Amino acid sequence: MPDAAALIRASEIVPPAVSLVLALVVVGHAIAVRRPAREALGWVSVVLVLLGFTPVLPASAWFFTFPLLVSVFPDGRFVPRWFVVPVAACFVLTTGEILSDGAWSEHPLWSGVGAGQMVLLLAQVHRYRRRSTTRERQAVRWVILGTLLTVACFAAVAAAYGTIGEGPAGSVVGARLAVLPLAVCLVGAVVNPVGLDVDRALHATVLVLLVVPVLAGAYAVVDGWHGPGAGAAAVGVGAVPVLALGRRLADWLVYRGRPSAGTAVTDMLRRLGERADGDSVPAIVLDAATRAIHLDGGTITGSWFEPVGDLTGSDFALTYRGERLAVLSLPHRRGETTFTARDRRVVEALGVHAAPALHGDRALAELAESRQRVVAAREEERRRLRRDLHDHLGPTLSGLSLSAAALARRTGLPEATELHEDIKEVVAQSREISYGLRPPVLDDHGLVAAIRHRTSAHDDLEVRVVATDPLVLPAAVDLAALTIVGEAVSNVRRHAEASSVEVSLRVDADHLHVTVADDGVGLPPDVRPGIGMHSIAERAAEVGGTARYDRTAAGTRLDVVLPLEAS
Amino acid sequence: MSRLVVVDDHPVFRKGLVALVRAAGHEVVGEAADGREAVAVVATTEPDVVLMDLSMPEQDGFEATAHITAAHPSTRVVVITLFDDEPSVVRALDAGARGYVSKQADPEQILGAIHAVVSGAQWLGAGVGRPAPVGRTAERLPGLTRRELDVADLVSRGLSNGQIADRLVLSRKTVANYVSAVLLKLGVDTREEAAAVVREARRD
Repeated sequence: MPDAAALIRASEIVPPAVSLVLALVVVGHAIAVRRPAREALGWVSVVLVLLGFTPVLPASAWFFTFPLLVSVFPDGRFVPRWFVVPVAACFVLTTGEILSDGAWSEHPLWSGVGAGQMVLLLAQVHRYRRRSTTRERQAVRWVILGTLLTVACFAAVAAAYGTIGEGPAGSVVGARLAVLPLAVCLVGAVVNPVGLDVDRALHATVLVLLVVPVLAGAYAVVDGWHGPGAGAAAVGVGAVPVLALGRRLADWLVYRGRPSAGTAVTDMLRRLGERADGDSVPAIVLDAATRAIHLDGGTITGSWFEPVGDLTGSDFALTYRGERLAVLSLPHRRGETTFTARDRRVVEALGVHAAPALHGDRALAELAESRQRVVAAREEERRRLRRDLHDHLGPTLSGLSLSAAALARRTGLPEATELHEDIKEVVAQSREISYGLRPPVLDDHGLVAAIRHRTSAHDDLEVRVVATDPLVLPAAVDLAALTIVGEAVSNVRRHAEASSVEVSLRVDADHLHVTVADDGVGLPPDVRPGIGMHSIAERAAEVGGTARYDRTAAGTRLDVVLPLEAS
Repeated sequence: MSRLVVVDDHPVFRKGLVALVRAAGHEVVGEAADGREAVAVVATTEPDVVLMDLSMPEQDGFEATAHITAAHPSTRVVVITLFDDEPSVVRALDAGARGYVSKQADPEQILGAIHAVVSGAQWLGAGVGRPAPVGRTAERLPGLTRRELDVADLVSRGLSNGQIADRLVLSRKTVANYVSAVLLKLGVDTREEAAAVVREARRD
């Protein structure tokens, strides 16, 4: 065991030496990473505090350097702004103290200055709790943690010896070493604030600082009043509620910047409720989760949508009625291998509330898909039916009708003539049925001819149809294209005041691209999609395609893309 | 009475057609179910008239018609088809067909067509799309829109603006606008001059 004198000697040397080295580290780091000049005050304040622990600056410089640090760290700006005032006041007081060679600190009011400084730590709490960058939040957490630890050390020394830095050797050594946590944390804050997550350390420190004094106080008071043993009983009874209260306070202080599960859920549900047509439900859910626990990104995957996001990490399954709908993958924070229980709670709460919305989104997607398949199958069926009627039943009936006519000619029987007339009637009926199934020109002469036929009218509008022949298309697609082009050209006739319109048809591997462009007056900027546009979009959606008016074009231009296969 | 070959890929229709023309007193010297077979049958039988379907497997009716009318100038082809649109009519006539009847036509139409082509006439059945009279003129009068060509054609036939308006179901004022456009585009001052230009274009 080294004796007390050696310990005191060591405590005189170690903190200044460590602080000096750390100050050099901060300066060297600031130069190495080329910190912007406007942020210089941030790290300079750290250096000043560290130098205050060494003989370079008088010890009482602390009364100015600490307020400066908590006001301007880490970005060099005073936050909140008006903190310039107390910091300036501290500068005046500190200068006076130094110039008067310690006389001012003899004044009874001076102890108020020391205590008041701790209140300024609220500036860092303010920074921490207001929305700021992740890096700034992390840096600030270090400062708060370091300050609290140092204060805790002083408090422990005071509690143990009744004095700070005077009298017993333990008090002297403890008081001198107490500055080390702050010094180390300040360097951590400057050099690599996100390297280590100090969340839990901060949470634990806050919890201990809240709970221990209360329980110790209770012990002392109750023990004093009711005699030995009563204090221990009081602590036993009070420990659980005090701990719970302490944890809530620590939560509020440390996690307040992150929304609670309830707030995060409310926010997500509001965004889901207000979402526009183009917004994807999975993307909103992902964004809600990453915002709620302050992550830079994440990924969400599901069977009915393309994965959203890029970063991955821990997987959270989003289940609905026992079925896994989607998986949310969230990256851990730097230096962590898992999420805190609180983070998990928040994400799980979001998952529970997102599941019905995701389920609805999937159901809609599946419905649209199944509708496309039904429409595609229906049109193929109608095309086949029409072909059967047109190519086989029609000629058969016509042939029978001619045979009956031949019979009537040869025999002169009135029944044969009647038979001929009846069959002619049936021929006409089958023709009507066939016309009702599909526009005949579409299957007899193809889409281009059908469009020419549909868009011709006795007026001056010149309709050009440009196509890559031959267009071999599914029945649903060529019918949708014909209907859409017919509608679009009739819109041109009604509104565009155009002299010509060009319809172009192009097929690639999986899509039919249709463009209807005119040289007319174009869409008025404030035009609302009329009934024509609405039915065009609906016809396109029915086969899984899209239809958009291009506002940048001269005249009016409609771009339609129809997939050749139902998805 | 005439010697006929009946060409159709549909057996029941072919049977009915054969029965009809036989009942009318014609002689059916051959039948074929596609264009290639038709060419062969016609080569061996040298009929007066071929009743020709258009849509058939192997070789379609247009090709077979073109071949037959070229190889056997004395054989007349009557197209009997489901297609009744104008482009098909034009194609068939270009291929050398002399008659064109819809499959839905009355038996008398079919027999009438046979009678007509045998006697050297051309027959386009009722309900069959007729090539527009301006079709060929259009190529020789470039720059005129389709509607202006319609108007120019009717002007060249001596119709007044009022008559043209009735005929095309337009207002008289609209017709007057079209006429001014036609005069401008043809580079002439009066409708008489315009009529002469259009008639000239139609002639050759």
